[in-house]
Amino acid sequence: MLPIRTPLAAVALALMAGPLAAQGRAGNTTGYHTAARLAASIDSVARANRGFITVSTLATSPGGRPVQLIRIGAAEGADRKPALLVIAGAYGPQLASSEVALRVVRELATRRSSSASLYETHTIYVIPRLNPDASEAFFATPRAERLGNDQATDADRDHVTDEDAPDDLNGDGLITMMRVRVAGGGEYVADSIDPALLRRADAAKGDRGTYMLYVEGRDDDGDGEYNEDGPGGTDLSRNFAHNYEFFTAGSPLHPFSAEETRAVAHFVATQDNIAAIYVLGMQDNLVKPWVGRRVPGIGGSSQGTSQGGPLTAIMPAENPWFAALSERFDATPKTGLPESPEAAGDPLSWAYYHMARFAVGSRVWWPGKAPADTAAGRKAPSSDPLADDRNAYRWFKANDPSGFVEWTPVAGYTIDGNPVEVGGFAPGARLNPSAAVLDSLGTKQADWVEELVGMLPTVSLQPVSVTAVGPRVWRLKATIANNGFLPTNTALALRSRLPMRVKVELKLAEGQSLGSGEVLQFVNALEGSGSTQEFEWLVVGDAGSTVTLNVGAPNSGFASQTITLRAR
Amino acid sequence: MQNEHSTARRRAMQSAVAVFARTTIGAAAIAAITFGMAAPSTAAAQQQLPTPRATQVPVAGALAALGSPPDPKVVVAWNRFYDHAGIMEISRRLAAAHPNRVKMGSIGKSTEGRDMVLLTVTNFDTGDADEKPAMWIDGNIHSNEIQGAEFSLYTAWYLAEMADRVPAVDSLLDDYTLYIVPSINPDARDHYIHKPNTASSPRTGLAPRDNDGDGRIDEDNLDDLDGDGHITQMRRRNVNGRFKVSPEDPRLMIPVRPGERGEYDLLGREGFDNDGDGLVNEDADGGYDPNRNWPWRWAPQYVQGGSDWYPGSLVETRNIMDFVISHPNIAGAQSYHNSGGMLLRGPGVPQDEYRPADVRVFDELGRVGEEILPGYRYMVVWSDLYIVWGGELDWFYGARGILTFSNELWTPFLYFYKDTERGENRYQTTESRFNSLLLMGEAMVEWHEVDHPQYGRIEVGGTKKNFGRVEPGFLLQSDAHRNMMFTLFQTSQMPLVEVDSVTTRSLGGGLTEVTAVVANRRLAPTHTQQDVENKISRPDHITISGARVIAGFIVDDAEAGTATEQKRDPATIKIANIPGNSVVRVKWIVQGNGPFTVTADSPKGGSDTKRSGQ
Repeated sequence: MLPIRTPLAAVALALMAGPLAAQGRAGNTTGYHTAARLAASIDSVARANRGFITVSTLATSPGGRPVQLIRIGAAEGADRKPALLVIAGAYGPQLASSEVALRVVRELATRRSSSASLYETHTIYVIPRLNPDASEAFFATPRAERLGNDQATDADRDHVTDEDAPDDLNGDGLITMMRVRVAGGGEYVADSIDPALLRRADAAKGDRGTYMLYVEGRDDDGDGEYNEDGPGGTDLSRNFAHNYEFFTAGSPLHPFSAEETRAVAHFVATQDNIAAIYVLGMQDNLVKPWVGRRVPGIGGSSQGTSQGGPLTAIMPAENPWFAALSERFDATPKTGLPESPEAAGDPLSWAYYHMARFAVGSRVWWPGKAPADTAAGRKAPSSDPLADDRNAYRWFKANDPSGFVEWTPVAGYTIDGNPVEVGGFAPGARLNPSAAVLDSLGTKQADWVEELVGMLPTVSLQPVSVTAVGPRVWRLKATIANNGFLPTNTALALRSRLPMRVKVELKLAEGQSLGSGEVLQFVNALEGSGSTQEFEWLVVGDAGSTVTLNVGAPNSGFASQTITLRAR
Repeated sequence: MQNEHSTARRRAMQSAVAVFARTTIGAAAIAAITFGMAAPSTAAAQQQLPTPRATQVPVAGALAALGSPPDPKVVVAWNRFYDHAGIMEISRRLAAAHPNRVKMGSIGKSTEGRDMVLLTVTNFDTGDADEKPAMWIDGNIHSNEIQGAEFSLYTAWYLAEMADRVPAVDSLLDDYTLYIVPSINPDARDHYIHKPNTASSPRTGLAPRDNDGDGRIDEDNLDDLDGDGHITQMRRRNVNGRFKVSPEDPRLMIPVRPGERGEYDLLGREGFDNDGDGLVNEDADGGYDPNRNWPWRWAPQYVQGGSDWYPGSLVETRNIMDFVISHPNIAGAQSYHNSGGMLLRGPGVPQDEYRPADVRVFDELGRVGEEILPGYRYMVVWSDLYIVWGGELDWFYGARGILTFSNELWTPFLYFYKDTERGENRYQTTESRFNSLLLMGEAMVEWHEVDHPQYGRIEVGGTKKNFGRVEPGFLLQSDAHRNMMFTLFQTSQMPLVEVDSVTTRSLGGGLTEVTAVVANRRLAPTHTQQDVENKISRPDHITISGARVIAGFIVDDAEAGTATEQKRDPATIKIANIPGNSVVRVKWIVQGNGPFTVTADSPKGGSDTKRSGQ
């Protein structure tokens, strides 16, 4: 309903996203996991899969909840194998992302034997719920959409913290919206086709605003704003450093001010075997790939230089790879995806633009296409500012009426003498499906995760050829191949110098020397699907003595050969 | 005559040094290399100071020299440099000798576990240090830029020793607090001092990093081939070389002209290929720039090298941010770097903007700074120097609204009190002359032969690490004092609220109008424009007590009689900002006859109270 951001960011967010799913809105959270149950479930999967799944605590939230890190892979050397990192649950109300992550882990555990070869060469890390504090609001009474962790903050920058939380005025156990009918000067009007939806009054179109719109609740601190500073916190889906926005609700200090997000940054920075990052979150680039898409932010440079500032689009050399990843993706429908929120401090953009990894993101679930309504006067306009809201509203009406709370008057409560109605999308409804479909979403996403891991770069070394050039003089030729699908590094990684490039290192023994070639060289992004690069050395050394060739990088895999200097 | 005499003496000294190097130091270095170890830095004692030999009480002075304490309780020699242990010891002594002026603490541990020593300097008898308007001073963010620590220690020492002597010092310490962290990079400070280095190494801190992307960490440091504690240059005789000895100064190498035969190759900074990868000195300890790690306008490494993994990745950065965020009384800051004689303000990048009202304050402070510091210039980082993403001063200003300078200590102007030629010729025209005429040639390691494990018999020589970027001893205290005075000038111009008057007027029927005038007589506002626009620190509060408040107002125009009512909580009027050198008026309609007490309370401007009729 609110295509434009209102002065109260929280209003827009709460209205655009609603809660959970299917059965009986109020209080029914069947199939969804509280932080404690999620942690216990993950510990239980790990216990049942010793030597394959290990769990550690990456950080502890301000609310004292663990942010878990799951490692799936070989018992030995997993941290040196090319890896995929899956991050879920950064946006508090989007519990489905965590639920899917949990189910992916469970599914991968059941496929442990059938997919064993995958883990000989690769590793998967999963952070199932980055913001457990915020997600916990889903299980509270009343249920609310909460973005921040439990770090008390001053969301409205009035220098008082957490002084005006929402209130459940109609006692339905949900924090939705409230609209106030005013005689004049309202900011919203009811939509003419679906009057339950509100849109911003546009004076230029002759709209006479009849409603004010707020999050459900009282003005607890009497400042004229409603529910502008509830409990918490730092919004972890906006706390990453790429295009971070200062001084906004949910972003009280600076990027990585939250221990949860800083722990992720530190993990990715130090775990240089992570070749790709998959974010189950609000940002998508698998249905709509980043190719040709610009990101906002300071800089405005397409060069990425000190003078011009950071890149504002992916480097052109990445385009085919991001396009191919999108083409191969089939874990969600490819249509009807709601607009992603602006990329500001989100983990997905950070994973590419700052950490220079292949980075993909999926919304996991959204209401499908509503049945067409052909009745007279019910046809949506072709250019519809309420398109996402209208579709969701109609979808809920047809599939799950509890997803939208019809506007009902609140008895005995007025604002400035005007009547108040409560209603709107139920908290989390637009992000979280019926629990009944979570398992099948998890299975599809597990398929995709395995497919993605199979695409990671995998370096191998073909047999090194040795030719005698003269007495004690040998020519060595080595061919290095990438048998994965993705290149060994993004184009951006070559400029960022992280993670490291594939290293080609020839180790000479005592008494040997090099006529030509170098003992240490690096391979720039070597494309996949069996692409190769050749290296040559002239080695002086006794016949029968050996040299060793080591190639690889943590994010591309390692290979090694010991070569005997002898004619063959 | 003078010159001939000097030259003769110099030659004699040269050959003495050369012999010494060949026979003693050179041999030690060669032995070390043979065993595959980095040369020990024992001979570095030549430059590093042993345990003080003098134990006598200083001879009593007879007449005070102005600007210096005549009989300080803590005697510190300001013509040398101190390591972390020295900073700790001086800090301890200051805190012990001046318990009501200096307290010693720590803002946290460095990467290697050293305390980031904090000196809080104020008059602790006149109020809570954390409630007074405060100035932040730090030094040494770049580990080779060491004199910031001595300068900031000098500031604490001067203030403590001059308190109760100089009224202006007492007034400053009554009103303000100084938070001084002499070294915010203590690990690499000790590296710079105790390990072989150039004047420019290390710049980083000591969190281990893989600089060259080969998967190995800090595996190819500089190597002190002659064990003298200084990393100088390497040269090798070569009839096809492209360099020759300067006819002006035999210690200098100059490139040959086209068509001219050379005598030497220059082989770079002292060191060898420690890890056998064919490269020399390519991955020294650390490997980032602590002044590119701050989360305001931070940019990743493809934009600008050295920013490290993510903003705030360094524990030293985070310790400072935590302290500053939890001390909203900090209104101004100076960060001591070297060198070049620059009083820098941001922004660091053209994509950023400093707010116009704040620029006016910076400009005035900078103008006075140039007057205090001959040879120093007030400049803007990106437009007058170079582009810096994620610099410390920009976080202080951008994220916290604090008026912040980076001071580039030491300027070549001080060699001969005149502007020097810039660029390649500077050394030859100025530094060489200064070395000869004022330092007896001590600034250079004379060229002498050593064995190099890869290059064979070569020579090393060149400028010492403590030349070129730091003051020589006889100028250290002088430059420390002038820089301190710029810092103290800024401190004295930080906001300070004062309840100027509280007047009453009867409105009849038991009602009284109470008007309070609150002044800020300093240059800086209680809130910078950056602060006001982003609501970084809370507003100033002007509170009346002793009355039943009916209504409260901000007086917009006293002459016109216009006022804006504050409907909520009228007893405490909230003022977004009191600009520098100005007053605000507030008034209340109250019941009661008084006396009424009015308190002004500003997060960055301190507090003051006055009663009506006073």
